[in-house]
Amino acid sequence: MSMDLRQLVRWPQRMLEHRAYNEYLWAYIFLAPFILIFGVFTIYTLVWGVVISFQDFTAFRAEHRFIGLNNYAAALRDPVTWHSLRISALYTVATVPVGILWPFFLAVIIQQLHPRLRAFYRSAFYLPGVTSGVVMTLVWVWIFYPMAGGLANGLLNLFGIKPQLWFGDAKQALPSLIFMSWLTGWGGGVVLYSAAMNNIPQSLYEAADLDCTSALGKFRHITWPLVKPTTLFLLVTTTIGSFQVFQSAYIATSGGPQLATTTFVYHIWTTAFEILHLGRGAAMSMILTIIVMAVAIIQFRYMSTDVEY
Amino acid sequence: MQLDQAKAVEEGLETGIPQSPRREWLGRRDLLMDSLVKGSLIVIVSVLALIYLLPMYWLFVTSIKFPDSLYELTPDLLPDRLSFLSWQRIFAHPLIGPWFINSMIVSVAATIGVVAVSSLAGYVFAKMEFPGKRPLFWLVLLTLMLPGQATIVPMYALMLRLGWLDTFWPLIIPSFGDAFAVFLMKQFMQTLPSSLIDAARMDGSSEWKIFWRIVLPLARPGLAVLTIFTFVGHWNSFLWPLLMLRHNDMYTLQVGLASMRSSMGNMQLLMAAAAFTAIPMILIFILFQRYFLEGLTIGALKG
Repeated sequence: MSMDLRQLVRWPQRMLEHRAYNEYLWAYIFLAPFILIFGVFTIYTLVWGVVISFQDFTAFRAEHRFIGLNNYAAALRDPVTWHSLRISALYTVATVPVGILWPFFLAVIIQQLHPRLRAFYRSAFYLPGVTSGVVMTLVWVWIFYPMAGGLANGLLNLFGIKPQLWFGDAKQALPSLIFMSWLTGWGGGVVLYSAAMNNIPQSLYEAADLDCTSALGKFRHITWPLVKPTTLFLLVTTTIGSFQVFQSAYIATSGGPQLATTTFVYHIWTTAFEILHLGRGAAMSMILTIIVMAVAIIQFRYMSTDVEY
Repeated sequence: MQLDQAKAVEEGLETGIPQSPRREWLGRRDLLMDSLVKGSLIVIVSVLALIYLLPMYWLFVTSIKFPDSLYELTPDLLPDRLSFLSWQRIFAHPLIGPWFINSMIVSVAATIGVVAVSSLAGYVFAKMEFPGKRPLFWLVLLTLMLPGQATIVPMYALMLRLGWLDTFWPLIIPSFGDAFAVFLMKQFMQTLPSSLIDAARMDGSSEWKIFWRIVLPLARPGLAVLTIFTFVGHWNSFLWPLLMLRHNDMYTLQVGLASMRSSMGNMQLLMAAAAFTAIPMILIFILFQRYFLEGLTIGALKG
């Protein structure tokens, strides 16, 4: 009994001397810079963003009143909002499947080659992505130059088709943007799939060979299921990225012609930073966040159920 | 006779070559099919790679074409007359220099900060314990799921209030709180042997010394990946600098380049400027390919 009492009394003193206490202190010190900046610029801004979305926050007035859900209502009543949501949805639906299947296809091909060749082609496909979105968009603006000199029109000319307006035509602008996305920036997907395929044990393929499985069968039953984690990752990130596309719309067409390429984020941009109605912009950002997270969660649920290892 | 047969079989087995001509042809046929398949795959993938790289080639070739030959209807992929006029004009462009320096300042400063802050934080999450560690890490991970656009509006308001608009601060400081960088560092540092750290602790080494002299040198590959990704990411970033920077002598290279787009007149100049903007990143990629590819896989496969 007396032993217990002594230990009890000594407990605070022991805690202070405990190695762990010293470790905790240093952990907090090391973590401090990150937590400080993360706290201010991620957490605080996130919360403040929600607050702003409920205010009539413009850059012109000093005080901002709470106006409840007015911003959201105004945003949802605005036909441009729905139009831009449709544009973003169209763009996403058109780019995501390609963004997953195309890298998969490429990775499968290069997987059959010698490892050194594989590394070479991986780099070759990744290289265009290293130049910025701005550079790539400008190159495609030049490729889709509406008059003589543009590569696209030049190619059409070889087939006797007359020059098109591409980004200058309200009907062709969005398809041109989509086509541009098909030929740029899937290098990362190729690398990821290629790395995942490297990890598939050769023995599985050999077993399939013994069963005389066709090449197609091998892809369907071995390769594709075993790279499901990569597929899920690419699905979620490509969807989120495509839905938020802004750069190419801003640089290539400034959202036009006639709002043909006004994506949802572009609409947020003009609302918040050109007409400076930050409150409504924040409300739309929240709508965007909800949509994106809902889609991501759905994708996770749908695909995670049959991820096997 | 039986002995001769036996000898023949033995010889055949020893040399390993199929005996009948038909068997020989069948064996060679597999090899032939294999090489044919491999060969055609190489052709296919090379064609695809060429198509993929065509825009980049077109970018560079356009910038060095003879100006008059630029606007012909049939595409001229291999010009026979070259002119470096546009490149001369780019280097003489009054704003290209400032833009380049601005990009450098922002990218270097941000990279140093991100690497310093994230390596410390990543180490803590990987190798140290403290109350509240797990919920905190989950919170950090959770923010990775957020779309980047969720915070641009309040960030703009914040920068407005702080008076940081049209300076480089908003491009540098907030990026230190990069959740993905911390995640990357944590994943990487977790693979480092704890025994070394524990041994150093028992020897009475201070936590800072352990971090600086043991963990950091061991973490060099991971740090290299983070450095490269952060630098390239900042060099190529567009939306945030576009929003924050007002005066065109403050622009980074990407924003300045985009501002040249409106002067749609001179496409060749635009291409030369774009090529100029892209070349540093291409060089970095060629030199440090390994780190790009490794970084991608660490980030995604374990996430």
